[in-house]
Formats: sequence, structure tokens, C-alpha cells
Amino acid sequence: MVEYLPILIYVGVAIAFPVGTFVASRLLRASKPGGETKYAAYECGIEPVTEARDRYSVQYYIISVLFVIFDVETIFLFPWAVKYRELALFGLIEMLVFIGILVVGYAYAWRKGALEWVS
Amino acid sequence: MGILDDRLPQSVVTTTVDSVFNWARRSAIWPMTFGLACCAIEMMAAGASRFDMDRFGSGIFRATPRQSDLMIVAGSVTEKMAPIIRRLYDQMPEPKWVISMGICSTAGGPFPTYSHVQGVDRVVPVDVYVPGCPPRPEALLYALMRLQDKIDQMTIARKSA
Amino acid sequence: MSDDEKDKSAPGPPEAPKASEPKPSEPPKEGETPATPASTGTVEPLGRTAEGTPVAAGAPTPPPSPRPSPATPPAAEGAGGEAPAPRPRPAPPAAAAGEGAAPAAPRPAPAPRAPAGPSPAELAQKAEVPSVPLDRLRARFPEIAATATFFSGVPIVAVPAGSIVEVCRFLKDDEESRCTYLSNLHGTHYPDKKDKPFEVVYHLYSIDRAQWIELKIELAEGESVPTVTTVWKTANWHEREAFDMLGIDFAGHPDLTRILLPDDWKGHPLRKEYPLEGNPGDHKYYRS
Repeated sequence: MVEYLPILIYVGVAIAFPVGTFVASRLLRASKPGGETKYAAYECGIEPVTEARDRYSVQYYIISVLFVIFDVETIFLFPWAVKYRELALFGLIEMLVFIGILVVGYAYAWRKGALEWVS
Repeated sequence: MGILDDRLPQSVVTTTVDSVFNWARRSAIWPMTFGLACCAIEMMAAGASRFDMDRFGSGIFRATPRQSDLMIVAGSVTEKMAPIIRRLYDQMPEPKWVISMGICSTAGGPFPTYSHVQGVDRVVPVDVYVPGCPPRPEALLYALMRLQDKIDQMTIARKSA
Repeated sequence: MSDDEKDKSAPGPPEAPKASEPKPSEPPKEGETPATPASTGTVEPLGRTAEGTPVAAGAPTPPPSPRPSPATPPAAEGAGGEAPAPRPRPAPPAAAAGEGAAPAAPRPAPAPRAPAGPSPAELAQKAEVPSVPLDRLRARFPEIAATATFFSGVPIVAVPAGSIVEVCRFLKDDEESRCTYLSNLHGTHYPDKKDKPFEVVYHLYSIDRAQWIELKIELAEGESVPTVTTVWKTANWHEREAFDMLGIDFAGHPDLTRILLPDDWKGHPLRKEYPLEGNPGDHKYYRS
């Protein structure tokens, strides 16, 4: 049980350090409340005309989803790179099947126009 | 300084802390781009390579008041622009300073007209005034150095006698 | 200062005998008989200084002023071929005898000269030049183009306010004139013209023909002009400026609001009665 003591100390420091700095900062900080204009949204000096929420192109979402999927695929390729020699031919065929499945998905996204920015 | 405001008498601790804080503050005064008229050209020249405001730590012009310490009001201020200047000044976090560059923002310049604010100190409190039409970049750098001297006077100790 | 004193005091002593006569700075009226030299004393005026006051004969003539004196016509004026001034003028020989010792003129009237008319330079400025837009305007709107004047090669046409849109559209769309460029649209204020003090001026340019034409509308206070934003989109902001600065109303304008001044400004500053320094209330303070 005593082997876990360093971890406990580590956790303690990880909690105490931010809490301590926040408290010290709060105590020592100058306080200059500025009225509502100080906390208003910045819009080049004029009163904010529109809301900050705005409509965005859905293309951003599609591109980000595709990125996540292919990024996870890349992560799965790393262990194969590490154990390349041991896995030999079996590993190669296995990984080619894996990549092939994802290439099918890639071709589908391409044909469907997910990679075009302006639809 | 929060709970330490106006409590500590002047001592070696406070002067040391002051020197550290003031050195940090005056070595990185980030101006806000506020060129309104012709003085903006000289401000750009002061920021460019020959006169180089960056060697004072002030080369980073922030476009937003939220990240800037200094507002260099460079150029004529019209009545239409005045509330905008006030709002931007209010949106800057402390500590903040204002340099009034050129005679138009100092005193209305050669334009005593209906639409011209006769001095930007009717709108925001000014720390350093720079005369000139436009002031040379060296004059603006001198104003920056005077502002640094002013920052050196800041202290966390009790200010009342 | 000694020079001034010399100039002031020099005509003094010789003018002392004329002290009884009325002020010599008053220019003699046309046709008025000055007193004969015998009655004025010993002096005979030579002519006029640059300021227009006659100089006594005995006084040293002041140094020639760099600009021509207003009493003498400039050398460019060809009428009559007068000699440059100042020069000694004899007492007019054929002055009307009935007005012997006319009170206001102790000196002879200037020698008769041709009535002042426009100089050749002015005539050249106002000369008529061939102008395709004006010719097309004459063909289509003869009564409007009849009053055209010229200045520096630009025809200026006075247009009634009601027909400005039609005239502009014609000038823009017509194949011959093709004034497709509205270069300037502004307003002016003439406070001395009591009935129609405002003017709206349109400067049209034909890029193909390289010819200008200018249209003017005279307006009374409160009168409105139809907008030409349907003809040229750029008129939008020009008319907003005319409204902002002078208060000229444009009927049919899509957005007639202030453009240069803040939206809540009171008054129209480019009117001649608006003070340059602004009314009290124009300058605001933002510091508590």
C-alpha cells in the first residue's frame, strides 16, 4: 500500500498548486470594476448590434467528423509500425484489410461530395 | 493589490516588489492600434524597422482592447468617434495608459470646428501628450520612454503620506 | 515704423490747405465735376494709390504697388488702350459746368474710359464650346437647354426640380451623349438669394465623349428634389451628404439619414449661418 504514497503526494500537489495560485491571485489582484461597458462584448467600440451566435456552414462539421475517423485509423496504424517484424505477413494482410475497409468509406465520402467545400 | 492595497508602508520589500512589477509592466506595453488620421502613418513608421518600437517591447499592436495596455490616440478625434473611443478605453483591462499623439488629439489641432473634439482628454484620461503634426517617430518613442518613467513611479505601498 | 510715418506725414503738409474740403478718400462719383484747380489750392492730384486715395502732387509718390490699382484697368483690357497708371491726369476739360464746386470731389474725375466689361480671359472662360450632351439635351428638352451657360468648357444647365430624373436618365441612356458617370452631386447654400437659397448641382461626365455637363437645381427652403439613385447608385451617398450638411430633402431616397455626422446631430453645418466652432451642445464630455 505504501507504494502508492508518491501518487498521493502527486495528486495533492496537483490540487494544491492551482488552488493556491488562484487564491493568492484573487487576494492580491487589484479590483477595478468597470461598469457594464467593460464586460460588454467587443464590437469595435460600438454597442453590440448582433448576437455572438451565428450560423456556420455545415461543411465544418463534416470535415471534422471525417478527420476524427481517419485520425483514429492513423492511431491504430502505430502499433503495427512498432511490431512490424513480429507480425510479418499475417500483420500485413490484416492491416491491409483494415485499411481497405476504411478506403471504402473514404471513396463513399468522396463520391458523396463531402470533400467539396462549396456544395 | 487586493488585500494589500494601501496597507504596507514603504519598505525594502515593497520597493523590490515594485521594481519587479514595474519592470515587467514597462517592458511590455502592448499598444492598441488606434490610428485615426495622419498620425497613424508616423505611428506605423515608429513601429517599422528604422525606428522600431519593438525594442521597447511595444511592437505588438493588438487589435482588441482586451489584450492591450496602451491606447495611442493617433489622429483627429471627431464627435462621432468620441463615444467609440470611450467605450474602447473602458474595455481595456487595468493597468492601462493613454498617449495622445499629435496636436489634433491633444488640443483639437488646427481644427476648432463643430465636429472636432478639442482634445481627447475630454474623452479619456491621458498620460502623455505628444505635440507635433505629425510628431516624428522619435518623438513618439520619447513619449513611450516618458510613459515608462511614469510606470516606474507606480508602487504597491501605501501612497498616502 | 518710420516708413509708415513718412507715408502718412508726407501728404500731410500739402493737404493742409484742403482741410476744409470733404474727405479725400471718397472716390469721385461718375460725372461729377471736381472743383477747378484754382479753388483747390496749390495742389493737383496726380492719380490714385493702390488704396484708391488720391495722392497730392507735392507728395512723393508711393512706391508702385505690386498689384495694379483698382482704379486703372489692367493692361489686358483692350478697350480704349489706356495707359498704365498712375499717371498725371489733367483736369477734365469738358466737365459739366453746372456743378462748379461739387462738394465731394476736390479733384478732377478720371478721364473717360470705356465701360468696364468682361476681360478677354473672362470671355474665354464663358465661351461656348461644342458639347454633345448639351446638343442632345437641346434636341430633347429645348426649353431646359435654352438657358445653358458655359464655364471653362462645361455647359451648365438650370433644370427644374421636377424633371431632373427624366433629364438625368435621358443623358445617361442616350446613345449619343452617354453621360454614364455621375462625378459629383452636391448642394450649396446662397443665403443672399432669399427666394431660392439652396442649389443642388450634378456633374455628369461622358467617358466615351470625354465631355462634362453640369445640371443645377435651385431650391427654396424645405423644397425637395426627386432622388436620382434610380439612375446612378452612387447618388445614394452623395444625396445623404447633401441632406446631412445642408438639410436638402430628396424625395424617394431609400435611406436618407445622416452620413458624416452622428445620427443625433442637430442642425446642418454647411449652411452659412451655422457657426464654425459649433453650437453649444455640439461638443460633449465623456469624463465624469
